[in-house]
This record gives sequence, structure tokens and C-alpha cells, in this order.
Amino acid sequence: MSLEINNLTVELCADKQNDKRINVADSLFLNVDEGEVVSIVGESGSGKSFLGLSILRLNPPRISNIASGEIKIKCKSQDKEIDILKLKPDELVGVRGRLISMIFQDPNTSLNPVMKIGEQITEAVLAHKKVSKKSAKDTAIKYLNSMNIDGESRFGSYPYELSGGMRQRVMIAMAMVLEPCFLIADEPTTALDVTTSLQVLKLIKDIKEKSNIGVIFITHDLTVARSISDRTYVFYAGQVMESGSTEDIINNPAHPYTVSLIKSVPSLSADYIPKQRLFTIPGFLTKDDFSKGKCRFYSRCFKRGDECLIDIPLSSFKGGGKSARDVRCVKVKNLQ
Amino acid sequence: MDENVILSVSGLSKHYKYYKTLFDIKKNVIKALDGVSFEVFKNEIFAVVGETGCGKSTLSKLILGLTEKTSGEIYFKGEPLDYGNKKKDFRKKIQILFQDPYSSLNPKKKIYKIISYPAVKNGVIKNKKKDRIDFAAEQLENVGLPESTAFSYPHMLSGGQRQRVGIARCLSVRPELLILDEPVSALDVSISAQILNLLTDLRNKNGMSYIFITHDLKLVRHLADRVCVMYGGKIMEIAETDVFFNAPAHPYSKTLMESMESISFTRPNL
Repeated sequence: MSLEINNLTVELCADKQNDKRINVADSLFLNVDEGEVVSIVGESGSGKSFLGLSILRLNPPRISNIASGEIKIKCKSQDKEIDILKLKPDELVGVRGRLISMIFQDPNTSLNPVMKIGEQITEAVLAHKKVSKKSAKDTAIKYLNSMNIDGESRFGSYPYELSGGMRQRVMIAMAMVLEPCFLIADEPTTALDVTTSLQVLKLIKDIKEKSNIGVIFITHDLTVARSISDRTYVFYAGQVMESGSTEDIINNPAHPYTVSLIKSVPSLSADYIPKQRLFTIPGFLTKDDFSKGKCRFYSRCFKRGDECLIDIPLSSFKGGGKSARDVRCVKVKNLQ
Repeated sequence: MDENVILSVSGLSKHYKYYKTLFDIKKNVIKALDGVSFEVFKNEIFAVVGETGCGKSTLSKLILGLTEKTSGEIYFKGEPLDYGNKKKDFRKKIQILFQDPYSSLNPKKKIYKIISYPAVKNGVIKNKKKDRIDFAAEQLENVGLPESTAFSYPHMLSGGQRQRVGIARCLSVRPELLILDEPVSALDVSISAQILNLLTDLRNKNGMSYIFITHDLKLVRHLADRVCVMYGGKIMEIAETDVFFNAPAHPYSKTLMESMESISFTRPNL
């Protein structure tokens, strides 16, 4: 069981009049195995949610297109490998929700407010499987129960009757009800407060261990990524800036962007001195950062130099497989 | 009364009444705020921590006079806070910075209008276009934005820039007390560091007091002088920041701290 993204390039129309297109995902390589959580960390506008949508081919069709690459998925329910990008639109139905499902950021807007939550879950079951309404309802209740929600009594509740954390758990139940092999979680904890977001993280971890699925966890918070994921891809302006095991990246960041990200967060550790000035990354991510011919982080980097004004390849350090460590920076020559 | 106390709240309660069903005879009561007392000193950052629904927002609404209190007293510099008669006075002295910079700026107005509106309304400047532009340019400089921003619309700015506009707007009337309602939770990590530095600088320069409402303990430790932990409309603990982080006294504070630590750089897994 594995999900493999090879050389994926997604184009987005940035300027309609001049037909200017930018690569929101630029020759991207990513792989997820079963029972593994991989997180994609990056700030807003870096294209990480767009990548999540593109994997399911849910990217808005008029303004964006997948230019090249392949997304190969191999599941235990499928005998052979499928390339999602080669599927016809009607075949995609068998992939979405069934092989790969997705949890969206904001549970308040992604649930239908005029439908009972139980019905929303059974709808997913009935659309994909040939089962009776009765057994679909039983499945829905079973999955609600496994998310620590009392399925029997909450089946007829409307979304407004639930708290934010509960709504997010309903979303997870809905994503898991078809027993997919992979789960894409797009910032599932951003809209929640500390204690509930911890519950949701624990739940995702439990599900992963119980059903041995692969999870792609999209977040903008390195601390959240650390608490849940095995490997991390640091994403900036459509490119992977750094990838490797999460512990390794946080303890020993190599790319200037990762270094800045870690430095700009106040911490709770004992050796942290409060009230000092925080390290900041100047400026913000703009459309121009997506252009070619220079490092995409160039305009905000504290280490920049003339040698950064080329297209920078992702160079590998430290072996292959799970322990591989890739960094996209010309200044980084070697790593311990 | 102590000279240094800028805001003093005693026994403040806010109860919301509602009918459970359409045909209910008796009203049910939600105690959003239940007998809260605390003091905020001059030039202090007072953090209010707690999860969603603990009454943090109700508290800020009451201090701003946006809703009626059920019982209790609020004193601003020894004077009872009365929005009925002296609304203009208090509006100038107490301001709020909202959580979400994407929805708290009017999308139809240019930035200079947004920033100078409170000043015009409170009689700080005259309602003339030139005055308003000059005034806005001055305010924008304070928060580190170029003068040209004055003629942009909110949608042309990024999240961090919008939050700076929000700060410029609430500082435009020179308030003495500023309520920060989760000022950075809608922003990215890199941008939030910029905003936090700016807020610290502005406090040191202008000598304001902040009531900093948040649920992120990392920020509390970084910024605040004193911490107040709320749960279910009641205050659980008030302590100096150092003391609080070394030894939280209340069991709820401990739970909060533990859940925070497990999502931070200090301790790895769940």
C-alpha cells in the first residue's frame, strides 16, 4: 500500500489577461506508505492545500491544470497500481472517498447545515456501496461511536447543535466510513482550541494505528507536525524546501526558511527567555515568489546571495528511503 | 483607589436567558460570566486564557460596553464605566483589536477612511479628506506600513498588513487600554512574530495597558506580565507569568499546560 507522487506540476492562472501561469506545485516528489503520517508544513499561500486538492483532482478546473507528473496509488482492495491523473472523470468517483478521503480545515463550513449529521454520513455510504439503508445507518452509528460520539443519540443532530471539536470528529467519521487507504487532513486543528485540537490529533493517530492507513497531514504549525508525523515536507511557494524525518528537521533544520520558522515561535521550554524580540521573516509570500530563475525564498531569506539566482535543485543528503534528507538550498553543503 | 490601577472589575456577571423550546414557560439561564473580579495595572499586559466558551469574549464585550452587564461593577481609573452618558470619553480610552483581519475591515472603504473613522467620530480630527489622509499616513507610519497603503482597499493587502491596519485604527484615538482579542491566531507563524514585536514596541513607546485574550500559552509566556485563567465563566487562577509557568496552582491550569506542552517543541509525542 503506497501513494507516490512523481514530478507533479500544477499550473494556476495568475493573470487572466496576459495568460500568465504560475506553478503552485513545481516538480514535486512525495511518497506515503501505510501506517505513516507525513506532514506538509508551509504558510498560507504556499500551495499546500492546493496540492491536497490536486491529489484528488479537485483543483478548480477553469483556472488550474495539472501539467505533468503522476500520482500512483496502490491499495489492498485494488490488484494493480492506478495513476490518478490518467483516470477518466467517472472513474474518479471510485477513488475519492473510497481510496483517498479528505478532511477539510473548517468543520463549520464543510458540513451541510440543513442536514442531520447521520444522514450526511449514510449518504456517503449509499453513494459508494450497494447496501440497504438500515445497514448504512448501522455503519454510520458504528463510526460515530468510534469517534467518541454517542452515535445513537447524535445521529439525528444538526451540525449547529454540536461543538467545533465534535463537528471535526463527525468530519473524520465521514472520511473514514468507506475505509479508505489514505487520508488527507487539511489543517484539521486550525479552527479548534488547544484542548480540543489535542483530542482530534490523538484521534487521527489512533485511527492510523488501528486501520493502518497512510495520512497526509497539512498544517502551518511545525509544533503540530511534530506531535503527529513521522516525516515532514517543508513547503514554500509550491516547492519542497526541505524534507526528512520530523525530529531531524526540528532538531537540525538546514534550510534558512525552516530555521526562520522555528526561531519565530515562542516556546514553552525552560531555557527560553520571555519578552525578548522575536525573530521575524521580513515581508510576505507574493505571486512573484513563484517565478523561475531564482530561489523562491530569495526575497525573504537572511542568507541570500548572488549564487541563489538560479533554479535550485533539491539535493539529497543522508542515504535514501525513510531516513533520506533533502534540502533545496545552494548554501547548504553538508549535513551531519 | 490605587493610582496605578487602570481597570478594576468586581463581581461582574453576565447571564444570558433563553427558551429551550418554543413553548417553554420558564427561561433557562446561561452564566457566561459569573462573579469575575480582577484589576489591570498601568503599562501592564494582562493575559486572559481559556478555551472556547469560557467567557473571554463576553468579558471584552462588557468592558467595551457592547452588551449590558447583569450585575457587578467596572471602574476605569477609579471612575465607574458608564457608556450611557460618557460614551465618547470611554471610546477614546478603551479600544479593541479584533481576531480576524479578514473580516474586521470594511471591504468597500479605502484604508485611510478605515483608519481615520474612529478619530473623526470622536472629534480628534475634522471630517475633511485632506485631514483624514494626513492623519492616516501618520498612523500607518507608526505601524510600519508605507504611506501609499492609505489609498488601497483591504483586499489588496495581505493578512499581516491588514492586522497592522487594524492596529493603526485602534491606536488612532490614543487609547490607554487596548483589548487584544486573539490578535495573531488568524495569521501565519512568520507574520505573527512581526505583529507581536510591533505590539511590544508600541506598548513600550506609548505606555498602554493590554488585555490580551488568547488560548495560546506560548504567547502568554512570551508577552504577558500577569495571567488570568478562566473556565466556565469563572476565574480559576490569577498569577504573575513567571510564577504561573513554574508552578500552576489550579488543576485546570495544569491540564491546560499539559495539553499545550504536548503540542510544542519541548515534548515530542502524544
